[in-house]
Order: sequence, then C-alpha cells, then structure tokens
Amino acid sequence: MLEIKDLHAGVDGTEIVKGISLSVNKGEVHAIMGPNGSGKSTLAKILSGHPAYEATSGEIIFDGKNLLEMDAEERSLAGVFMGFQYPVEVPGVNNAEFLRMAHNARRVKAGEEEVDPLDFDELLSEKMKMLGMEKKYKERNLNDGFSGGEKKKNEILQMAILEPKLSLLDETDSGLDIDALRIVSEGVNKLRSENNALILITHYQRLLDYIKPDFVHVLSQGKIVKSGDKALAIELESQGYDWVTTAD
Amino acid sequence: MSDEQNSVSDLLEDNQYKYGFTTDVESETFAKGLNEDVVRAISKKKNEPEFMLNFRLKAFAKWKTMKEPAWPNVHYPSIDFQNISYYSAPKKKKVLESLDEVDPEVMRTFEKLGIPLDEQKKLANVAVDAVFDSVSVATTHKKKLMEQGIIFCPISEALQDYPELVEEYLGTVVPVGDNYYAALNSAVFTDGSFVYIPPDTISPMEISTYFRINTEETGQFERTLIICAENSYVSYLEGCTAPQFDTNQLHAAVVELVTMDNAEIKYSTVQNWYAGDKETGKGGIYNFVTKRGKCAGDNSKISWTQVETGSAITWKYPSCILQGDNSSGEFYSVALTNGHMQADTGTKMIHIGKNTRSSIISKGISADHSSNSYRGQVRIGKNATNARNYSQCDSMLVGDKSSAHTFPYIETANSSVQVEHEAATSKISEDQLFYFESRGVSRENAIEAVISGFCKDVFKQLPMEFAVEAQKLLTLKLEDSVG
Amino acid sequence: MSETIVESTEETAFLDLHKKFVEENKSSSALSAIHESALSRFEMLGFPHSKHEMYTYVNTKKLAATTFAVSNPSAKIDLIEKHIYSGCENSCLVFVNGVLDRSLSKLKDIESSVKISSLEEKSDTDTLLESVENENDVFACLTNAFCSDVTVVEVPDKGQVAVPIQALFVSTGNTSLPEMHSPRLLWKVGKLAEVKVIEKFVGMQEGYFTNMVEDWRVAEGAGVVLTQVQSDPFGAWNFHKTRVHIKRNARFHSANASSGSVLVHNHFEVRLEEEGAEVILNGVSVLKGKEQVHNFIRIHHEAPQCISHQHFKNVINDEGRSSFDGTVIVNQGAQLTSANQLINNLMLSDDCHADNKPNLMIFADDVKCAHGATIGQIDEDQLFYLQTRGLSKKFAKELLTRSFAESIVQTIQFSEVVKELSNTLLKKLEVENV
Repeated sequence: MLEIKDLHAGVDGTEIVKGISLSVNKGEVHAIMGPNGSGKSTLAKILSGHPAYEATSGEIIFDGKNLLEMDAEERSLAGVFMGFQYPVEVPGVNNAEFLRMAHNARRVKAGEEEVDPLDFDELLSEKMKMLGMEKKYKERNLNDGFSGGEKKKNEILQMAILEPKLSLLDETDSGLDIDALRIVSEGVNKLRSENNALILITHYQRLLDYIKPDFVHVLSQGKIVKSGDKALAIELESQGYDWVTTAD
Repeated sequence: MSDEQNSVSDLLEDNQYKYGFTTDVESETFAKGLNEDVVRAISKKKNEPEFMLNFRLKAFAKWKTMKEPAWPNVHYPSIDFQNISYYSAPKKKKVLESLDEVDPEVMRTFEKLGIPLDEQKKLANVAVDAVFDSVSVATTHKKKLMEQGIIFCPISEALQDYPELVEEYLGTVVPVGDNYYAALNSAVFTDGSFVYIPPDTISPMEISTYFRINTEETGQFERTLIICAENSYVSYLEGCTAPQFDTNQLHAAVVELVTMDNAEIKYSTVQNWYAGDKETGKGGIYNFVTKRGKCAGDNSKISWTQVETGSAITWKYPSCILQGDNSSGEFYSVALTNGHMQADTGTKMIHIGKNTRSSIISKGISADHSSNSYRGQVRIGKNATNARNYSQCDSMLVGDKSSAHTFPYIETANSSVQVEHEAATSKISEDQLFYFESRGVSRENAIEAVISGFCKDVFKQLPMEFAVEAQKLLTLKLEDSVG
Repeated sequence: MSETIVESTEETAFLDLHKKFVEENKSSSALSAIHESALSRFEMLGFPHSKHEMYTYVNTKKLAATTFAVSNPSAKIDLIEKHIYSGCENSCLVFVNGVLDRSLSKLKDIESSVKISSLEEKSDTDTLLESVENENDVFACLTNAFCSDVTVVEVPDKGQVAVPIQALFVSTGNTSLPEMHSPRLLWKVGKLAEVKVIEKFVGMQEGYFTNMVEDWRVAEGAGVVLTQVQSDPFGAWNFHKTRVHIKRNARFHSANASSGSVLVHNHFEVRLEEEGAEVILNGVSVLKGKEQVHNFIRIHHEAPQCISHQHFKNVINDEGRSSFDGTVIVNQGAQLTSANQLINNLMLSDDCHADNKPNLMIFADDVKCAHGATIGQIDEDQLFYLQTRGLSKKFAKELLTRSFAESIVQTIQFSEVVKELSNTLLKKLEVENV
C-alpha cells in the first residue's frame, strides 16, 4: 500500500531524514520510534504534505501513485489521514460542520452525493457513540479551546469519519493522561481492519501497550537503525534509545 | 507543490465587479456646481413646501462655514464640490401612475441587479423603494402597507402628501449642521425613502430601498427618514450598487430614525458600491454617510446591522442616541476591505436615559493593500444611571500589506455604569488552511468557512433574505480568485 | 494653525519667560542648541486646543494660562530623608526644583557601577537633539526649552547595579508665584546591563509645575525595572514624559503609581526597535476630591517577536477624573508581535469621570493583539458574599476596592515602595463613603 524508497527530506535546506525505506501493507500496524530529533516528525510532515517540508530525493508510492506529487488535499482524498501532534485551532468554524465538509469533499471525489446536515448528524452520532465521545464535540468550534486530550480525541473522530486507507498518528499519545490514552487507543483499535493500515509515530512505548504493532522501527539521525516486532519496543523502554543508536 | 499554492491574499482577490454596468437612460441633470441658486432650484424642481426650502438654505449657509473632517483614518485627494452635479433624474414628464410608466431601461437595470420591482414577480414579503441616481423611481407594496396605515414612499412624495410629518421630524436626529457631509446633504438632497409606522403596528413585511448611482460625476445625496410610533416595529433593508467609473463619485446620505415608547427599528444594510480598480485604486464611490437613530421613547430599541463590502472610501458611523429610559441600541457590522479600499467605520452609542443598554459587535476583514478602521464611541452621561455597554471589535488580517485599526472612545460620567470593551486580532493562517487541506477540504472552502465563522455573530442579525445575500457577497469577493 | 496660536497670549507668556530664563542661566552650547530647537518646536505646536489629539481628555487651559517663574534650584530644603527609601540611602539622586543637587545626592553605593554626568558627549547631544526635534508633546517641548541641565545616567555594558537607584524630585513650591521645574534626564543602559530605578515626586508645599522628560536607551539584552511614584500635593501640576527605546532582547518593566493632583499627565512613548524587545507598563491611580490623572501611551512595535503588556487600574471617587489614551502600533513586518492592553476603572461616585481610548493600529498580519477596557463598580455579589460572612458593608467595600488597586501595587518589585503605597495611596480608599 505504501512504499517509501530511500527518502531524503528536510526543512529550510537542512536535511533531517537521510535515507528511509519502509514498506507498509494492508492490515499492518507499524510503529516508528526514536529519540527527539531523530527525524520522526519530519517524516510525518513529509507524509502529510506540509508545504514547509521538502523531499530532496527518494520516492513515496501510495497505491501506485507518487505521493510526493500530490498536495495535502489530494492525499487526503486519496485516503491518507494524518493525526497531528498539535492540531490547529480554528475559531468560528463549527466542528460538526467542518467534519461534514471534509466528509462531503470525499464523497464528491467518489462521485457520490453530498450528505445534508441531518443525515450527517446521524453518521456523526454513530461514530461518536462508538468512540465514547460526549455531545459537546459537535457544538464546539474546531479544536477551539480544546484541551490537549480533547484535540487528540477529535483527531480520532475525524479518522473515523474519513475512513482512510492509511492513517499516520503523530505523537498521538503525547499530552494524554492514562485514561485519555486508553480511550483514544480503543478508538483507534475499533477503526483497524484488514483493509487499512496504520503508522504510529511515538517517542514512548506506552501507546503500544494499547495498540499492538506488527512492526517496530527505530529511527536515529534520520535513518531506520533497527526493525523488529513488539518485543523491540519493550526492550527500548527498559534499556533506552542509546542501546540501539550506539549499537548501530 | 508550493508553486501552485496561492497565497491567502491571492485567494481573496476580488473578482470583476458584477454591478459595474451603466444604463443608458435619458436623464435630466443639472449643470455642475453648487451655490444658493442650485439649492433653490432643487427645491423648486421638487415643488417643495416653504419650510423645506428654508431647511435647505439654512443647511447650505452652515455648510459654507464648515471644513471637511480630517480625523478619519482615510486618505484621498480633496473633493472639488463645484465639479459635481447635484441633480440627476431619469427624465419624466409626469407623475407616474404605475410601474408600467417607469422607463423600461431603468426597470431592466433593477432586474439586472436582482431586484424585481414588478409586483407580479415581487419578492415574497419585501416592499421595495428603488432610488436611481437621486430620484426614487418605484415603490412597491404601497397599497398593502397603507391598509395598516403604514406610509412608505419617496421622501419627495412625503413632502407633498405628509409635509407636517416630515417637518416635525426631519433634522431632529441629524441637525442640519451636524457635520460637513450631513450639512451638504441637508442642502441638496433630492430624494430617499420615508417610512412612518403608526402606533401599535407591526409592519407585515420587510421594507427595503435599493440605491443605484448611474450617472458619472453625479453625487448621490439621498435622505431617509423612518418614524416608528408607540408599540410598533419595522425591519428596514438597504442595498447599494453603482457602475464602474474611473472618477470617484460621492455618496453623502443621511438616515434618521426615530422610535417612540416601546417601538423598535431594525435597520440592515448590505453596501456594495463600486470600490475602484483593484490594482490602481482608481475610481470608486466615496461613501460619506451619516446614519443616526434616536430612541426617543422609553423601552424603545434601534438596531443597526451593516455588511460593508464596497466603496473606495467608507466613512460611516450608524449611531444611537439612547434618550428614553430603558432604551437600547445595537450595532452589528462586518466590513471587508480589499484592493485599495479604505474604511473608517463604527458607531456611537450616546447614553442619556436611565438603564440604557448598548452592544457593539464589529468584525473587520482587511486584505491586499486595504486599510480597515473601527472607530466607536460609547458615551455615558451623568444621568444615564445603570447604563450598560458591551463592545467587541475583532479584526482579521489577510496578507501583510493590509492594516487593521481599532479606535474606541469610552467616556463615562457616572458611577453606576458598566462598560466592557474587548478587541482581538486574528488571521487566516497557512497552518489553518493546511489543516483543512489535510482533511480533503479545498482552500477556497476553508477560507469561506473561516470567514463566515468570523462573521457569524453579525450575519445572524440580518433578515434571512439579506443574510443569504451578504454571505453570497463576501463569497463573491473571495471566490474566482481561487484556482 | 500654528500661526494663530503663537500670537495668543499663553504661548507669548512662555516665550517671554524663556527670554528671561536664557538671560539668567548660562548654558553650554550643546544645551543652548537643545533649548533653541525645543523652543521653535513649541512655537510650532502651540498649546492644546479643545480637540487636540494628545490632550482630548485633558484640559490644559488653566495650566497654559498660569504665570510661572522659572525654577529656583538654590532653594533651601530640609527633611528629605523621609522620602528616601530604605536601601537607597547611598544610591539616591536628589533633584531640587528640577535640578540635580550634588550635595544632597548620596551616591556611594553606585559610584563604581554608574556614571552620572551632565551633557558632555557629543553623541548624547545628538541623541537628545533628535528626540527634541521630533517631540510632538508640547509640554515636553517646554521641558526641553527650560531645562537648566541634562542629567545623564549611564550603566556600562554588562553593568550590574547592586542596589536600586532612587531619583527623588523635591519641589519647594510657591503659592504666590508658582514655579515651573523642568527636570531632564537621559538614561543609558548598556548591553546586558541590569538596573532598577525608583522615581519619586514630592513637594514641600503647593504652587509648582513639575514638567519632566526622561529618555531611556536600553541596549541589547539589558534589563530595566522602573517604578514611578507621584505624590505631589493637590495644587501642583505634574507632567511626565517617559520615552523608551528598547533594543534586541532587552526588557523594560515599569510601574507607575499616581496619587493625582490638580493635573497629572503621564506620557509614555515606547519603541520596540529590535527583535525580542519587551515592555511592561503597569499603572495604578487612586483619586479623590478633584484629583486627576491622565495616561497617554504610544507603543511602537517596530520589529518582529516583540512583546508589550499594559495594565492600568484607576479607582475614582468624588469628582475625580481619569483618562487613558493608549495606542499600540504594529508596524509592517513586525510579525509575531504579542501586545496586550487592559484598563480597568472602578467608579465610586456619581460625579467622577473616566475616559478611555485603547487603540490598536496593526499593519502586520501575523500578530496577537488584544485590548480590553472595563468601567464598573464594586461587584454587588462579592459585596453580599462578604457581608454574609459577617463583614460590615463599609469594611467589605474597602476590602474589595483595596484589592482592586492592590493587584497593580503588588507588581512593584520594591517592597519598600509597596509598603509605602499601602500607607499612602491605598490609604486613600479608607474613607467613610466608599
């Protein structure tokens, strides 16, 4: 589904990602871990299509298409979802209305009719019920005045509405207390299926207690220095990153 | 990818001004210039009663002693008032009996503007007075309104049919010498709308005026007077457009509102005068307007809502004099400036009576090279005990060449008042747009969502028909430039 | 405009006074140049008329029409010790009737870290001349024209002044022929230097006009903490302009406590000239009788990433009158500016008056600016709550009023000043009819 080939990328002319290759198939969950400054967030920004970040060489192929040639809107419509580390606040734009806009953009792309607010409300209520979210998320403005945990929940709600093929969750666990982490993880698990894939980008292993990865990759200085299964994450947690990064 | 990306300000580019056509009608226009004879001639032309001529002459004498105000935060070359024609009317031989007799060209103009005057195709529940250059050409629904005793007619007609009503109220809210442009208007106004709502009457429909400036180098000086008697209510709508000329045209209107005990007037404006060339700033309307309402009666209310999207320069402060006890004033405003537009707009809330309330919600959006200023005065007099005011004026900036200014004046002279003023600035940020895009929502939809979210406190004050139009108008200013 | 004004008698009286002043005082050529430039600026501006932009809410007619004598620096004064804060006994500059009195000043603790001089260096003269030529406050022009000296206080690069410096302005006053005092200071704070200053204004009796101007040049990375305490008697005018230029990453934090008088006017002009500069201006006034305090503030954000905060509180009783006219100007290119402005007024009587003009002028798009102004009374709910807890209504009112003003007083970094204000400024709130 996703094929990253020798990706080099950076921001403002500084190379941060220095040759990453990664292959993700349907139904798989990959965790990308690494210390601060290892290139995790640059990789996430590149995958999401953030205009400030630039890929200098390499390829990212998604469903046979060159992802690097698509802008953020096209990537989203193609089925890539980015769960942001710091979701931006948009005062004045109602959350439910925003979700409907995003949902309809996808339907229009698929040649389907837009759904009206009433029908959408039904869909939204169903998804919110599944994720155990309170009604207030409908009434409030997009991330406006949300706590860190509320913003992350709202990201997962968007993921549920947009039903992406590939989801990237960037530091979704940061800023969450243990209860919120559990709720968010349960939500993500409910959305997993044989047809979609998930990439978790995280600094800590604790998220992986709730969302079990099939593969764990350790990033250091812009490269994947070690790959393994869930056991690798546990080892990392107990021994710290020095263990892998210096072993390289 | 980034090459294709338009900057936010590109996205807000104005599209072609849709109303920039002129209509070829035979009109009768006075020679340019202004002196006492011109004032007399206007009065004579309109066959006005004696008091009206005296009113005009007094105003003209006052105007000659006054200077153009220099305090607004706008810049323009000084206006040559002798190079303006003070009277232009579609030529007509006799008093029109029905709409069929209106020059068909004029009728077509209003049709092009989307204002059906033909009563067959009338808007469901809106009575319309159409003012073409300086003269009212058509007023709809008059009969239906008259059944309830509501007078809705051109002010020139009111001067013939109800001179005592006009004499009693004209100039009581905006005195002839109130300010430079009001004095000029008082001397030379040619027409406008007159509304009288008798006691205990709720107007069965929205009342509306559309203004159209058609002739180049004509000033439009219309005068509106609305009186709402005890326990009555009216909602009044005003729309404005003008053709595209390279020269600037002057629009100096005066609107006076009076409410008696327990009466309420809701006055809404969607202003879309031609704003001048987007690149050069050439041409466009100078919109120097005095709008003021007096809550003369106890428990009365005046509410101004405006959506300002046009004019090269806007100088306009719809105000409320809260004289009656427990009276209240409201001001809701969205002012969008782009290109080289300059707007200095806001309100005055003058609290005189006890327990008076006012609230001000102002939203300014500035894009391109434009300058957008909010100027608002809240003055609470010594006897206005327990007066309350709440003001909120927010600015949104689009692009780094535009500017936004906030000039509140808060003056209080007694201890039982409560005044709160808040202001904040925001922008449409690239981060916000990127967030929308990453959810598959296009930039134009994202901008629209952010802008309408920013303005929604004001839009919800507009009558339904106007809210739709205002939303359309803002979108119109923003779309087309996208993609 | 200017031509007609110059002919009016108010300005002429001051021009005549200036002639006398020049005859009686021998000035250096540098000072003469400043006087000359200032005088022509004064003639050009003239005294404020009723709709003057800077003096919209301040009636200066009576002041302008008053006949003044120029200051008499050799007047005998005594008992100044009680006005010197503990901790500043050996770091105190004493100005008598606007002129630095070296014999009364005690500088032992700061001799090594601070240089105090008259206008000597050419670069200082040029700096001052530039600000004199661009002065737009007519009263500051008068200061520049009538100052008999410029006191230059310099903290060298990386200088750390261990103790707070107090500048004490004592006026002797003359009720039969009021005097005009024109203290003029230039503070130069070098790179990465740190200094704390307390300015205090007192008078021995009524009948004077203290008309002060001070320039602050705060170099890169430097830090200044300034506290201004105005406690003149009622029949004394106090006009005070503080002009501040702040360079990269430098900080200027100030608090002004004004007790009011027949007319007090505080004018702050702050320029955040380079990235990362920061200014905090706080102010508090407590007014009774016919006391007035007017604040006029202009903050110019000229570079990106600068911060400005203003918080002013006024408690106004009787026929007191206060105004706040503050504008934050964010220049084009001053992105990521953060500017806040908050004014709270507590009105306690039916005859008091508060005017507020909190303005924003923004020419950059990526900025965070907010302002707020409130005018109100003691919260009835709070009052009721305290009464239900057994407090008398009078005491509860005092408590709430005091806490309103105290929040600004508490921002003052000198405990001696806080202690003093608790016994003076805040004491004014303990009145029978609060």
